[in-house]
Amino acid sequence: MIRLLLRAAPARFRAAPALGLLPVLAIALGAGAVLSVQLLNRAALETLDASLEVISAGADLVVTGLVEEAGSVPDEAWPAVLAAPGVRRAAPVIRLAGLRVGTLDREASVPGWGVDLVSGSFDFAGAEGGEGTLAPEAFFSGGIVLPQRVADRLGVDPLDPVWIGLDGAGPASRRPTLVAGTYPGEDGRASAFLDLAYAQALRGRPGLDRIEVSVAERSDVEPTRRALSTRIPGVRMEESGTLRAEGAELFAAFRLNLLALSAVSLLVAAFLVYASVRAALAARRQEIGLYRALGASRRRVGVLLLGEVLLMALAGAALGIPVGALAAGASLDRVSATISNLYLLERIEGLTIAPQVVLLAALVAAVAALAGAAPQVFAETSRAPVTLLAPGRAALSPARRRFWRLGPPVAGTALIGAAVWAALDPESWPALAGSGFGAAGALLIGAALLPDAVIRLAARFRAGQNSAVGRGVLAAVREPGSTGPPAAALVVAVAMLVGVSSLIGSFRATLDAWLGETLAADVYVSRAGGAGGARSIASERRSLSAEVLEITAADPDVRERDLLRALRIRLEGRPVAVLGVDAALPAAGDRFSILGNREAALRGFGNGELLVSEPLARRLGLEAGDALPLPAAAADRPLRIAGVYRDYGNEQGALFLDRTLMNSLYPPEPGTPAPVHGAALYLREGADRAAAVTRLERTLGMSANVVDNAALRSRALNVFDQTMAVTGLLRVFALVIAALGVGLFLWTLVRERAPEVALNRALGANRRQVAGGFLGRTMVIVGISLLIGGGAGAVLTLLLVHVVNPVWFGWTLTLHWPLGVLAAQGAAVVLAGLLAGVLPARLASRVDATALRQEI
Amino acid sequence: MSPVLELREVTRRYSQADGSELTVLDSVSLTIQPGETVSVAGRSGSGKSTLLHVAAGIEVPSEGTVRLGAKELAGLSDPERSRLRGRFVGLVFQFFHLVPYLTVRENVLLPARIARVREVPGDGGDPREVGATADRLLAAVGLEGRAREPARRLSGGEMQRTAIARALLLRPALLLADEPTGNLDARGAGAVADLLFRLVRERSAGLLLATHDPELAARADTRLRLRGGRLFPAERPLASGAR
Ligand SMILES: Nc1ncnc2c1ncn2[C@@H]1O[C@H](COP(=O)(O)OP(=O)(O)O)[C@@H](O)[C@H]1O
Ligand SMILES: [Mg+2]
Repeated sequence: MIRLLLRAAPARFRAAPALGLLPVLAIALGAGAVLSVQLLNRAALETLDASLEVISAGADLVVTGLVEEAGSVPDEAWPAVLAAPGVRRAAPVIRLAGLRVGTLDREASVPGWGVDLVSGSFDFAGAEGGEGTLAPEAFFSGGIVLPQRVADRLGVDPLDPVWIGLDGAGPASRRPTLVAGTYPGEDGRASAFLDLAYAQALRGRPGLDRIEVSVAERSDVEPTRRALSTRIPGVRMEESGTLRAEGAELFAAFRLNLLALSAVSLLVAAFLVYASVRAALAARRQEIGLYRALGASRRRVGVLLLGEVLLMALAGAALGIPVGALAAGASLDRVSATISNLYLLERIEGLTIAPQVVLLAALVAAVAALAGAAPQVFAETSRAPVTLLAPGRAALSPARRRFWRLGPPVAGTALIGAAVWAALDPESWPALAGSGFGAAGALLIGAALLPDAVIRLAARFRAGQNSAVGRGVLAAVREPGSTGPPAAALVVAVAMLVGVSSLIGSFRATLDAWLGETLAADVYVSRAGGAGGARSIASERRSLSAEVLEITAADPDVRERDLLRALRIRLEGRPVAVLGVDAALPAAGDRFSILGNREAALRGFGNGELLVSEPLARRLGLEAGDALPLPAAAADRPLRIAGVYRDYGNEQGALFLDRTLMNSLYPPEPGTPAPVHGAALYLREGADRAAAVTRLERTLGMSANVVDNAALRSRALNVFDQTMAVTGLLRVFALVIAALGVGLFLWTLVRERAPEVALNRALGANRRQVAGGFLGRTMVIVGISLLIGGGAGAVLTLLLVHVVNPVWFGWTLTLHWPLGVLAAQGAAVVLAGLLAGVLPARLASRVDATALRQEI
Repeated sequence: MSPVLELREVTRRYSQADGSELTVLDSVSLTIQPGETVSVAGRSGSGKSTLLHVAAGIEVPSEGTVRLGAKELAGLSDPERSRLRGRFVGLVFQFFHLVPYLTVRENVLLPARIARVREVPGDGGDPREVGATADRLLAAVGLEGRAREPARRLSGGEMQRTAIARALLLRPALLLADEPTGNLDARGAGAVADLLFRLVRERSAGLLLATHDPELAARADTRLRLRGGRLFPAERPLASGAR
């Protein structure tokens, strides 16, 4: 029998291509969504991994600086480490962020490392799995070792000329060199290597990023660590391996977000599968009845049908995987922008399509397909064969048991109730990790279970039957089975759109208000090449030149100057920006939006205490009055926290202290002045701000970036919008999948209901009226989705703003409904829904009355 | 008075999968006067349904002309033809074709909804509210007690009686019935046939009835047979072996 069915499959497909194609397409879309998000997540993680990876084989300890800055481990530390007891090998390493390699006509980004081969402490062949070619003379005179993949992309071989340079440093800083060797490189490990001294020269500063240490005996790590700590001041010791774990944690929130958004797409796709399998099975009801009548057991028919669904799932996965890979490729830039904005990392270099991810996507597709199909297969096979065969009644929906009628809305209401509880009373909601997302998931599933019941309530509707559209509406509400599944898919998409857009809108409005409140100075000066704002100043770690400081000090319009120094440290494993400003400045208070007692906080800040950012306070459980030990060589006592300030610019955490105090805790290199990374200028009363900006720009030329506070504010908002762009993409994805689902569903409905359409034609309806009827059905689907989805979206917004956001990001947001955006999205949903209905309506209008003939 | 239906030299051919042509109706001519009942008998596959479809304007003849009342179908656009079919013709099918999710009364009212009329001509030609007409028809077919029931809950005989009420709602001048009893048991078939002829005669509508049931065919004023694509008079009932 199985063989018979398989042999009949092509013929069946030719007879009803839409019914066969529909589940396949639905599965393809779901698999594509999962795959693309997985690929992007992995690419992001690999980028992070690459920068945190311990590259020496068998290293036990990693020596890093107290301050997260390039070159923060002094060169002299290396011989000191080598001399320490118990140290077998010590490999000095620097990380070349944003390394670019190119030929005359091609170029590539590649993670770059400066390593030391001459000491033999870094084992190139061992670290990279051997099999490479290396020309030592070329390497020691500044040549670069490339992974084979990159060499192929550039079309170079060992000893070919290339140039190397750093991102953002401009073409002038490029240096010519040779390819010193190539090596195969495994996936995710495709770095380029340069001799340490040349890497330092390329970066233009001395110092190491870390020293990777192997101890003589593995069991002796702890004594060695103690010995190193006492001998070498001003460094931090990490067990190798902790770095990566911390990195993964750093990303957790971001990845979870993407994952949650892709789960929404998957949920929508599962409804699609359910709907399409339902339609496909309904069309074959008589065939199923026939098998049953001919003696096939219930189980046999069920297994057979599920087997078919599995085949379709595989076909769908095969189709969806390239689509997902393409979508991931197309959105790589946006994700890359998000990551570099949020996490101060370099850009993502490229996607690697790992077989296990592809397998995962296929598996998810198969499971979703089977889960979507199982209820329907069960329902069809448990009918008595005779009802399946009765021709006049085959198209009628079965009278469902009360359990099936009441179960979903009751369960849905319960799930929504739990979510509403969490949204309205976040305090009493269990604050487990992920419980906010759990509540959001419950909300979406609950909302998806409601359309059926709402449609049943609306079934009392009887007005407007005189218009074709009205009759379509009536048909839609009288037949929940023909409206519920596509509405459920659209409900989920709409709820997600509303929730995410309102979260982002709230965030943006809060950020905007905060910027307006805290950008107190008139003009901001930073090193050229930066995007501006405290965040990017901290990330760039480039200081203003003495000349810039002089010119800004001498400007006739400048009343006060607030100089900023920035560096990064690690607190409990996560990077934290330390920002030094002039605490005594009269206007100082305006720079901060303080949570709680403002007077006391600012008084303390003026007396050498700290102001910590809200995300940092939340993460470490800090409040005013607590003491916080800062990792600094000169710190002899913990500093007191004067207060907590709102900070929407830095998720990782930041703290402010007086700049003079900062310079004493983190003294500059001997013989150099303490670096200044930015200057905020307050102008005299009545001074022309625009004129001052123009004048400073002219005198400072290329050496600095001058913006007034309005420009800085809009720039920060731009960065924010860029950061959120990736969620925009996923939102569009979910809406498109849902609209496709609605369209495909209506399409099968047209085929399923050809006799009904034909009847209308026979009773005198013209083509326009038939199309109008389908328009009415579409309007019900869209209307119900907007109604339920909008309500669920509002609850979702509360959840995201009050539950998910504080736990995952640590910000306090003011709720703000972006009405304009929501209205536009509502219009987009209506448009997408109607577009989805257009083709089926056209198809329906082509059905003519002779379609009744099949049954006459 | 002009005839309600006039087919002149109508030919209907289908092209078959192998490219050859199948002539189902071959120069068929037929005229039905108001109040006249005509039955067409013939084997399954002889073209009875095709004849009815051509008469209803659902199918277009390959050659020949079809006139419904004063209108020639070939000259009409799709909306005009749909409108004419809705008001001038009533259709009854073998498989009833009710809309399952509508109530019995809503099914009966469907033609009025499609044609957007609120009033229909009553017995004396005076306008009557369409809802009242539906109720009268439901009473006439014995379903007044089940008006608010969804159509899917009806038995076969009840479904067909509903379909007859629906076909007569707009007081069509011509009723086309394709095997109206073909899917019913003997008692149900008898009741439906009685109803059909009584109501048609009461309204002096024309009736074109396709059936392979000789007993039903015999009740018509004019009895025809379709064979080889041509229409013949069938004065005698079929050979008694068929009974
Ligand atoms: N669309 C079509 N294409 C080809 N042949 C058709 C088509 N519709 C009907 N036929 C053929 O026309 C003949 C008459 O069919 P029909 O009018 O339904 O017969 P009846 O109603 O008398 O049983 C049959 O042989 C049928 O196969
Ligand atoms: Mg027939």
